[in-house]
Amino acid sequence: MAATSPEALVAHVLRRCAIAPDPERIARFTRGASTPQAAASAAIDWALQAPPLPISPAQSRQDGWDDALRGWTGNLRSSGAGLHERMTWFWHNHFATSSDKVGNQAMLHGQQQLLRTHALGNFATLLRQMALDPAMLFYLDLAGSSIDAPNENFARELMELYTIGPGNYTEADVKAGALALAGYEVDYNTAAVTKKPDRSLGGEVVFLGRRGRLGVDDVIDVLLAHEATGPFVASKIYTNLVGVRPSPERAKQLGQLFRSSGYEIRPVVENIVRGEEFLGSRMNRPKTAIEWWVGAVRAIEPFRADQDKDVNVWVLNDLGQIPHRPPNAAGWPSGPKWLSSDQFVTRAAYVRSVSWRMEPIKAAPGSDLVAATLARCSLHEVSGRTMNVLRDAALAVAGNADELTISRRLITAALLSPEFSLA
Amino acid sequence: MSPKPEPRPSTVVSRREFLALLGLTTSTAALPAVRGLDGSVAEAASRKSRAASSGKRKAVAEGPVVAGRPVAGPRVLVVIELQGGNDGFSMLVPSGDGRFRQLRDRAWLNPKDLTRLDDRYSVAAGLAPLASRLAFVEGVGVSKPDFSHTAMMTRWWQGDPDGSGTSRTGFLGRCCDLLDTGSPVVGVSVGGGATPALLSAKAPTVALPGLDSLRELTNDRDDRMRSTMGSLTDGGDESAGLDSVDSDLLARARSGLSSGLTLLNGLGGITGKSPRYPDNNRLASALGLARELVSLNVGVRVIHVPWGSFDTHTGHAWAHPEQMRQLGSALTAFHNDLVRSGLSDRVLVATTSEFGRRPQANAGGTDHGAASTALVLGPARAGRHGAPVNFEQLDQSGNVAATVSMADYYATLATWLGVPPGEVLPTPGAVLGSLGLT
Repeated sequence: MAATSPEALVAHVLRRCAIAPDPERIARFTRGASTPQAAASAAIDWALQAPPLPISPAQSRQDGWDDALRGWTGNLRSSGAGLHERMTWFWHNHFATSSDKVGNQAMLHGQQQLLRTHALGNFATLLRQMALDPAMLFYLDLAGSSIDAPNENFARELMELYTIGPGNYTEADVKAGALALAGYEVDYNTAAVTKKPDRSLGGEVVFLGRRGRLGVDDVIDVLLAHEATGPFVASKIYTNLVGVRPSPERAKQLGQLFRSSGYEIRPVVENIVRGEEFLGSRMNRPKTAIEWWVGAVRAIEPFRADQDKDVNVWVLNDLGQIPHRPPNAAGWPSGPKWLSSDQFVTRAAYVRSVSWRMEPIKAAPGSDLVAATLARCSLHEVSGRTMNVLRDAALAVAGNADELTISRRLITAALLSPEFSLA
Repeated sequence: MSPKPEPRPSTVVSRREFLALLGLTTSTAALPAVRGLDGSVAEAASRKSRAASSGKRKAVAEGPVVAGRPVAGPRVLVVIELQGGNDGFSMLVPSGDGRFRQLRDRAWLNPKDLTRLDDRYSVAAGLAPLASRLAFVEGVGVSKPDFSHTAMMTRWWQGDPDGSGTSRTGFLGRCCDLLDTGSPVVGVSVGGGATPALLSAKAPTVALPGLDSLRELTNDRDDRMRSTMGSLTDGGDESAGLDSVDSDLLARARSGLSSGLTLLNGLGGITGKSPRYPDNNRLASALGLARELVSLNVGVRVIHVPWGSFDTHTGHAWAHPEQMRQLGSALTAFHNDLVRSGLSDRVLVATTSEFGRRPQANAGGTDHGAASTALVLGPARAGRHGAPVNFEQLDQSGNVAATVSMADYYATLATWLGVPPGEVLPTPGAVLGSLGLT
């Protein structure tokens, strides 16, 4: 493989270990680094240690949907966002819960706090608390489920999506799980969770081979002891960070690491981002809408000092990825959906509408406008085809268009380029 | 059987011509939309149906629909995907079946939400105003059901009844491939972004973005912008080569941008102004756009509309009727619009859903089931089709067996479009002749 620049490697690390790169942070890790790998290592060290971002207090308001959105997207946009923020977002996708059904900002705020507390902590603890999280209890209908007519929604997704994955359980396990998990109620105003003995399991069930008068702790014990849970969850983390599914051997190895540590998340994440596949796995998956948007905002910023800093977070609604509004319990889909025609049209319209306020692109001495554009977008690996388009956009019009018009053309082309749509 | 020849609309513009338009003009000038005919007065019956629906919605000025002069063009299939697993038994309700009533006791519908049809059946009150026009296909499902949303949605999207997982394209996408005659857009998804259902091998299928985005770009005053974006998709000088680490994905991204620009040129003139559609009803908005897409005459043959939250594990008895009210008022507005616009003979609406609900209710809701009832509206014979399911014979999971296979249902829709079922389904199903969709 041809030598890769330190900027390209650091940009990759930040695309995966943060939400998106920005020129200042890339410069910080590349400046004075002895080799590209050393720069990338420094960036990985930083991302692993980046302190958790605080949850915005405004999000605790019962009716603060707009504030909640700005709070979370503010964190995603923050230059301090590292692996803690990335994994918080990952777990939101894993335990996807929608305000469309829950409709209670205080509960969703509580769930976000739970995700933030355990983002790089312990999966077993996170899973136990998530099972009885008020927003989750409402979202997957465990709230109010009773032994005489148990609701199967949570029991099914607990196995299919959160722990062992499809193919590892039967319909009888779903029914047994639903019986074992029945009996909980949630006070919609106080979010207090209570268990009603008369609505809970009195007899025995057989769940994934374990017989007994099982409760929520037993069900989760069985799932955590199941050999599929480690590889299933660790593979999902790997796929998010590396871009492709792990080989069966790698999945097994990560699963063992996960399980033997008692489901500590940080060692698995660290093993993945320091693994030998990581640095070479560049631009091998589409950016999700959130990843694209954070990157685009960073490139269009800084807005002119005298202008409103509103970056129109509501575009995320049109792009189909807004915090606390996943399409269903399986979270946002990955893959080619994010490279579809409507994404490009919506993204183009967004760039055109907010770039009016951008600071025009200035070429540094000895550099040119195209290089300055690419640096501003943290694009350090670009095909010759895209380079040609940017050169044309910069050259052909230099005579008869003002500085802002040219800057907007360049930034539109760069942010709509195939390269910028990949993570 | 060979594909049925369809009359080509006179204003259709070829894909080549469209690409030539890139960066030069907007589609509004090139493609005047066909507008529906006007003229109506108020009518008591439809006022009554409005009163039955949610009070939040703005009243729709609806009246006896004056049929418009038929507008020639190809047939268009509109598939509404009822998301979450729709309970067909709460749509066409087997209210005279004692066993079913017993199983459903805990989530039984309120009398006000049911309109009696005969001794055996009622219809959801929300659909009652349309009941005489609707075709209900009973017992639609697969022989070996799964109860995972993801698994069953994938089977329905891919037209893969057994979940063999061998198909890389969607059933509707494959229909588009066979219907593709070079028009700019053959399949469109409205309201939910890209869908695997419309994934095609070659035909242009797109997801309609928000109208504000289309407007922003069609009104962009920098006239070079579109050609710059267009050049990103062809890359200009090929000799520059591709020095990318993964050319497959880059090509995919280029093709997405390219379709986006095609869409902008082909569908950029869409207005979203549908005054006769109810407010606060996302399905109605999507169907209003679907009618515009048909009228734009750019060769659209398949429209996919994902809608609804039918996963009624709790609160089934209030949640499902509310969905039916929205479905009913949206379908009524759409149907009337099609009649007025002279399009009703060549636009067929059909619903799908990943699965139905189990006959036995849980506390106040219903869990994942198997066979369900589907709705068809348009040039199809109204009434009941397929065969009733048997509530006396439940399988191990507590579900009824399907009486009509997904393959039969899809074969019927494909045939109407002029697509040979054998070319789009792993095993060609039997066309449901009673619907009269030939």
